[in-house]
Amino acid sequence: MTDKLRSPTILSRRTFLAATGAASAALMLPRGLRAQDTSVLRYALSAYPPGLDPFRHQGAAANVVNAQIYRGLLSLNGEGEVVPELAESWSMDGAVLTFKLRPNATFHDGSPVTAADAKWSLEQVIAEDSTAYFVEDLRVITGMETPDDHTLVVTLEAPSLAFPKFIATPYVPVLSQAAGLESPVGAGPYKIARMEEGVSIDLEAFEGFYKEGLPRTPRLKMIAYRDESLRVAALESGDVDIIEYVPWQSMGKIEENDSMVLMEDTGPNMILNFNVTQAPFDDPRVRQAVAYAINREDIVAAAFYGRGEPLLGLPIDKDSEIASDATQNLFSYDPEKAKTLLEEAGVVGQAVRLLSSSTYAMHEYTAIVIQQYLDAVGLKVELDLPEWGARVTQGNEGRYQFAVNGSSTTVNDPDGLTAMIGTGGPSYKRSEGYSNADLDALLAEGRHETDLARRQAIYNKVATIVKEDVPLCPLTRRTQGYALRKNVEGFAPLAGSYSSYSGYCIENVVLG
Amino acid sequence: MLTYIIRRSVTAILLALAVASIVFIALYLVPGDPATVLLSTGGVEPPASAVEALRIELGLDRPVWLQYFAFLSDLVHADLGQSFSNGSSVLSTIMIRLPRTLELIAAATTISLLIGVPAGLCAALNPGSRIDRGFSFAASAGMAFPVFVVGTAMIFILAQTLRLVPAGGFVPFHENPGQHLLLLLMPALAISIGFSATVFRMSRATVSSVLHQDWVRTARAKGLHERRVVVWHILRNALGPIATVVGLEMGSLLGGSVLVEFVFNWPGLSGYLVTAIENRDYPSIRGTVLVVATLFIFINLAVDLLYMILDPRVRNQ
Repeated sequence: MTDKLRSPTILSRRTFLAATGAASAALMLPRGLRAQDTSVLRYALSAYPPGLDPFRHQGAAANVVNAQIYRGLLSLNGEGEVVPELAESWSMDGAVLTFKLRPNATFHDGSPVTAADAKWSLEQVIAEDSTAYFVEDLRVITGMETPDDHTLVVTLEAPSLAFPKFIATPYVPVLSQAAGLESPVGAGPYKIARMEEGVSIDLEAFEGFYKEGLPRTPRLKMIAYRDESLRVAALESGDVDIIEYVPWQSMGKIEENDSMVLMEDTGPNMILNFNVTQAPFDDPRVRQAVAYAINREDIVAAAFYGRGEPLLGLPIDKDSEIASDATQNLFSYDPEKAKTLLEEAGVVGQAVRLLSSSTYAMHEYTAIVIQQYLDAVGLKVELDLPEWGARVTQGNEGRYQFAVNGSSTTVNDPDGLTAMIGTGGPSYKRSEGYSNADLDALLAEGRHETDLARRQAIYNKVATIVKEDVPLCPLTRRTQGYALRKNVEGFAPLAGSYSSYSGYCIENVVLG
Repeated sequence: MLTYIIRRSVTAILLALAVASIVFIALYLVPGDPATVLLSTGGVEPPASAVEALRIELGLDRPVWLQYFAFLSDLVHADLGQSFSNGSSVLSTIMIRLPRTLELIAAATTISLLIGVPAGLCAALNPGSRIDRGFSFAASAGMAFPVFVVGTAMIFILAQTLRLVPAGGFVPFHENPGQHLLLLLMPALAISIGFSATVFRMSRATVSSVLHQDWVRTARAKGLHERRVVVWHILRNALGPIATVVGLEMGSLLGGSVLVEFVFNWPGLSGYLVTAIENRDYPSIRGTVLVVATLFIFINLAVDLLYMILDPRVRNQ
């Protein structure tokens, strides 16, 4: 009877211990012994790209992948300057831009990159049914000509210093016209070899890339780590070589660790938008009061773990061509002045609702700090913290009194201010109902001014109006960080508005 | 028995359809326009004309009832539609994601049964003993720790401190079987800590309840070997409620393993569902909910059939 019951699947204690011991030994050994393969660069993405449409905005992760597969006429170097890419040279004469394409640039299918391809690609961006990120910015194009196979002449409706900056981003690549949009073919340094849905994208070097000797690492594996702590853990345990979007709370820990390097630079700004169609924020004095009531150091400390700095002027890049004391030093922390302004406006003790979002801790914490400071000067703030998608809708529909917003210009050009403080349609990025004819006139003038000194003078005047009228309240500049293993060489991320275009420099990265 | 299965299957399909319709309506009540949300990832401002063009491209400009009928007619053709995010087939994405989730659930269930049932049996056979108290304490602790705490602790100890395993992730089986199983083991273990505690509780309770039944005394009186009494007369009669609990738990893991997927970077179905909700990717949400609901219903059907096999009385009803 007992023999019959002794099933072969039931293990004796000794067999069980032996088996598990052997299995765990087998699983653990390779990890300790394995030397790193320097032919594969492993890059941790902050998300698996929702899609890889070459022109559409699909988040930072899609952007960094697209920067490997596609390239445009122009590009950005490590200092954030516009440099030639598929065009070997370019010139701007008033509203006419001439691009000379490289004779040796080829697409991934081996066909040469011609002026006709470049023209066709730009046409796709501005087409009637285009969903491109820069569709409206590029509709300033009034004509395009291709006098020969390697020359493209683009005419704009008016001179624009911002135009070359737009086409230098990864959102305006040159695609093969023959391949079309169904399965686009680009001319970037890497080609996609394999995609594992939701996990990783394997890329391999494109041998026909026009830059001699680049990309320096033959294979690139981009792995999605949505959880920011896990992304840091993966870098720490050597599973990946580079991570993007280092969480602020982990930056100190990475700086202290000898095997890792933190690359931190200023990134986007935080601001407050007002609904100026309703009381109390229809009164500029109340908006001014808000701008003086907040000690921004505390937002930096609470929402960004000290990784950032107060923003007291126009929300532009730190190294913007118009950045100066006149545009960057408009407000200060002055609670007495704020109280006086609120008393003058007769709104002391009034209740106001502040819209932010619980999806991002930085938005929520920023709102909490503001609530405390406004309470101290006599405004009772209630917080409204919906999930991000709902918050965007509420903002677009103007259903708020004032709102916390993350903000940066799309490219490092002061004309980006037009989208924030110029008159325009409803958008969660702009103060609801705000319109100022003097500002609009100055912004239009600044857009087409190509002389630097005159341009600076125009934006100094813009700053004077912003100080009085407060179409938005600047809060903080936050930092943006990448972290690398010590043996990674050649990675140089971009700063400010260009931070999410840092994917351009991956072609120079090599593992030591 | 066959008519029973057919009847239950038809009910299951109708139920799934009802679920799909409810989800369809619910999505239109949730604030957030898909075209705007998709184009403003990361908090950028989308150009108004791009949003309008995308709305037309996605068919969101059509009346809602027309969209509903399009959805139903696609469904009849076993087509769950195309994702709003990237235009790829929702069904094929689910078919890639689903096996990963099923694999995780299967591994977690196996581990939980291997730990929970024997432990519950031991505890029930020796009530009040040191073993019983020890297991019960461990079960309470196991149920009290949320899976994200256990998971984070596992990553911290095993990956970051001891460097024994990678910090989560997924490697396809055909690429590296060893690594695949190792990466599967971690989230499976994290789930089983709570799951096996549930199984243990249920096993202990049901075994205790049959322990003093007449047929057990009769079996002992017949002089049967104690092992046979335990396996055939006690355990088998106690398995019914355990199967129910395990079935329900497996079903809820289908769409509810999002936390463990997040902590271990496991690219399963729940994570896909959460991302789809964030992006207001209606076809992906509908497709995933439909598949999860259908599977849930069929797991319950399987549990009922298992009951029939375990208990002749149910079979003859």
